Amino acid sequence: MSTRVLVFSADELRGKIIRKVLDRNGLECMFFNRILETGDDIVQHSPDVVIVDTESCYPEEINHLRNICQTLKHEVVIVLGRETVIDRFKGPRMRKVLCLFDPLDPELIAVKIKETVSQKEKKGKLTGGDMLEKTLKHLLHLN
Amino acid sequence: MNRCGIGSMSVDKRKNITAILGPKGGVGKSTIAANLAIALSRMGKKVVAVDLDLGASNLHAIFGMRGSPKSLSDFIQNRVKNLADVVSTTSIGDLGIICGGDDPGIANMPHQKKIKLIRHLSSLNYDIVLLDMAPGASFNVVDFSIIAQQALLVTTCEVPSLLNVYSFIKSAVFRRLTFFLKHNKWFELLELLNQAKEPDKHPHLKTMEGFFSEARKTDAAAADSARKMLARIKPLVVVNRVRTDKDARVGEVIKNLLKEYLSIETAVIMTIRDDNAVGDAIAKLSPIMLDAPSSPFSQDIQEIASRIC
Repeated sequence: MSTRVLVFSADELRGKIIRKVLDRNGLECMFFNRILETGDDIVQHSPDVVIVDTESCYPEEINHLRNICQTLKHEVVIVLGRETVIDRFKGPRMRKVLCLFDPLDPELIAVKIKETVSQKEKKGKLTGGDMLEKTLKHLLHLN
Repeated sequence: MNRCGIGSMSVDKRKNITAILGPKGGVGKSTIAANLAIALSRMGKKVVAVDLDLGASNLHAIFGMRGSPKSLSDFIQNRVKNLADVVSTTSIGDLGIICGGDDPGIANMPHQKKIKLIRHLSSLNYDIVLLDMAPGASFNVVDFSIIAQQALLVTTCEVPSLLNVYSFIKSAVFRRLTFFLKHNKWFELLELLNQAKEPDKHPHLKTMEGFFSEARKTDAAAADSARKMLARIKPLVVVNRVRTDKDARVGEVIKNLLKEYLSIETAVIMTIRDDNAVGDAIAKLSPIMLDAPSSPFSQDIQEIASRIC
């Protein structure tokens, strides 16, 4: 199954460039530029990866994206933009997100997505095996 | 020499006896046994497949034989003198079959008859004697598996089947160690081994490593010798009906448990893919190795045959 990526960018040109490069890398990609509707789009499309581009966003939109990022539990989240803006996506309540600073490098984004998804899959597989081992140990009274 | 089975018993003139065990019923053991016999035969081996699922035999049906004039019952009930006289020939290379018996009570044969059968099995003039065992871990199953140089434990990916495989190997390990320690008259270690059967009372003996560590305090040489004997145990676990990568990994879980708790580091895991062609072949009363030789199941059986040969 292919990896589903949603790109949110207020800058239409940047968003389309990212989508084009990700498409070319075999990633199933959708682009949205209505930042304040991000939450609904994520619920509707259940992506594996969410790319949040902070460039050209109004402060209100940055706050909205920040809040959304705090609620995402299972998706890989990549935040793009200037270092000063991205710093706002860090903090104790913020789950760990992958930050890529400007200048925009869509090929690097594709590489990072593949790396992160692969690591996540590996972790998922190990967890499945671990769960089975735990179940067997429990049923065999080995604990 | 006992190459890699899970038991040990002094039987003269040992042939290459391979036991196909399915501690849980319905895991595809007889289908694997029948098709493995064909694969080995096609590799030029002289093979006899023996249906030891006494009282519930069905190996002949998988081979497409609707009946047999002779069966294991005739030997066990003394109607024929030699086990070799009940071998039915087939049109597949040098492959013979000993059909199981369905006489009432045959599954609980007296000890002397069992010993006689074991002796005759060991004397059969074949390159490979393939035993299709009954499910479970009854004395019959354990005793027949103990004479085998190789034991293939068939499981599916489901938890109950995996539990049974682990428990079977654990039982075999304890039984073999018991024979070994008794034979060498290392009774203090035998007592320690009996304590290890109650890990709740003796948590330091929960793992085989714990047992060996304690045993060394009593008799280091004996403990090391027992450890060497255990190192020769090489269970071959066949995970059948594998559908996904996740299914294929269950073998690794069993391998980890065997290593951690029983100090068995040599377990070999093999997998057989789930294949609808198996059901089709059974419905036609035709072995899948003949009915669909290039099917995934047949390919996996061929690979197993190459590895155990």
